[in-house]
Amino acid sequence: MSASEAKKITLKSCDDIEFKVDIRVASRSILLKNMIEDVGETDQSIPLPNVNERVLKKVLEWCEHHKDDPQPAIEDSDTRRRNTEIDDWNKKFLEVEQDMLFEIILAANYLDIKQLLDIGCKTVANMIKGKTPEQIRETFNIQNDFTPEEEEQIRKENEWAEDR
Amino acid sequence: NVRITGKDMFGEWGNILYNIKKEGETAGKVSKALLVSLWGALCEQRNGQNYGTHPRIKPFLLASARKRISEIVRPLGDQVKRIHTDGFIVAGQVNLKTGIEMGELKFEKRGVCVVKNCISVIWKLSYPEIPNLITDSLPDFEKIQQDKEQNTKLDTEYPALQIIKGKLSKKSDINLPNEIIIEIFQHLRTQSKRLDTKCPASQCGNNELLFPVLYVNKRWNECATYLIWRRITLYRYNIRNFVELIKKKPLPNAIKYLKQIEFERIDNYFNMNEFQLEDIFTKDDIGYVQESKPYIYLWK
Repeated sequence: MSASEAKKITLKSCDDIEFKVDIRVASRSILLKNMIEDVGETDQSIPLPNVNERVLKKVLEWCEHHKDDPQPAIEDSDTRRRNTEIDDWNKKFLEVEQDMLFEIILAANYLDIKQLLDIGCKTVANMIKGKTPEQIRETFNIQNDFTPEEEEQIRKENEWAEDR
Repeated sequence: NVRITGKDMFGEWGNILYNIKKEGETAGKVSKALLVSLWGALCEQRNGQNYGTHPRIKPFLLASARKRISEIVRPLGDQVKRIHTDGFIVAGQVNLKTGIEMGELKFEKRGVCVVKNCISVIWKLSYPEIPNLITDSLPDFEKIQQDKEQNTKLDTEYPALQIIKGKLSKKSDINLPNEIIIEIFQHLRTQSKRLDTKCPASQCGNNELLFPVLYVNKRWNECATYLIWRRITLYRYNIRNFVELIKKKPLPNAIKYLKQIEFERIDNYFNMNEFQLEDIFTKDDIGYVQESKPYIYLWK
């Protein structure tokens, strides 16, 4: 049996579906990496109560594609965010329904996969960029819960910063 | 090579301090600070460097505290909602022996506690308002019927529309926690075209792309306000507007987030005496002010 065959762990989604994955793949998640380091290799499945089968499958697809990437360097978070580029593979990977996009972001946050969280957030930020408040509400199906007076108050509070 | 108990080492000293602590006020606060630093000072670490003389005792101390807490909370099962190093939060009635003497379990407070995530625990006076999901979100059935009829008509008249509709992404009400919304907005802050990475003032980010999200809804407004107001940079073009605005009216929504004001190249254009923070904000608004040109830090 080769070393790579031996290094597998089982992840269990909240809807009780099990995924047998390479440790290198699972280790893209800092949460899982720490867990594996703490408990060592185990036959028992690791339950992921916040991630369902559909989303876990998608997240593992991302991890599989990026399994050989170097672990991201610890850098200033603003510097990390300033890199606005999303490469073609990731762009295509995130061409999903909004529901799924948000669930991927939540799963990346829970599993502590910084790069996936970043590209997910960047994708949503790009959907917001250049839009008016009304267009943003339309894009994300958000109800406007402001009264006209409250909107005016916000305008007054922030006009010093908006004027240039 | 001799093992000594904590009681032997600090017992007498601890009792003196503990009695002062119980009296409260300033002396009580100082005593508390001294008490909690007894063991800690021996294994103090700052920026990864050991300052205490006995750094090895740290993991044992922590393990000992955790063992004691875990022995207390284990029988309480699911009633335990959160565990800290030296305390815990439970829901409902529990039967625990508490006291006020040193080493005894103390009852701190009772109330409505919202545990949002691992760092955010908020105590509230009353239960937060929960929207009535039945009456508040009842759909407009009349409109749904009209839309349905309209769609059926369009589908019949223009079959190609059905294919286009199928390709459109399904929309959903954005239901992400505030910390993720803030993370998304951070990307907007750092993606502004005006952001000049060489300019130190712009390291805080530029808020240009954030302004539209202020008006989307109340939740987005809260998240964007937090980012815009947390660290503000005043330039020669906006300082007068800023001062006039905050002199005119208190800004309860925004001011609570303000932590740092930075002045960028305004010395020659603005008489700093016109800008007296204490005249503009109340003491509760700004807390302790530390001026360190060109920054003002507000400690709350």
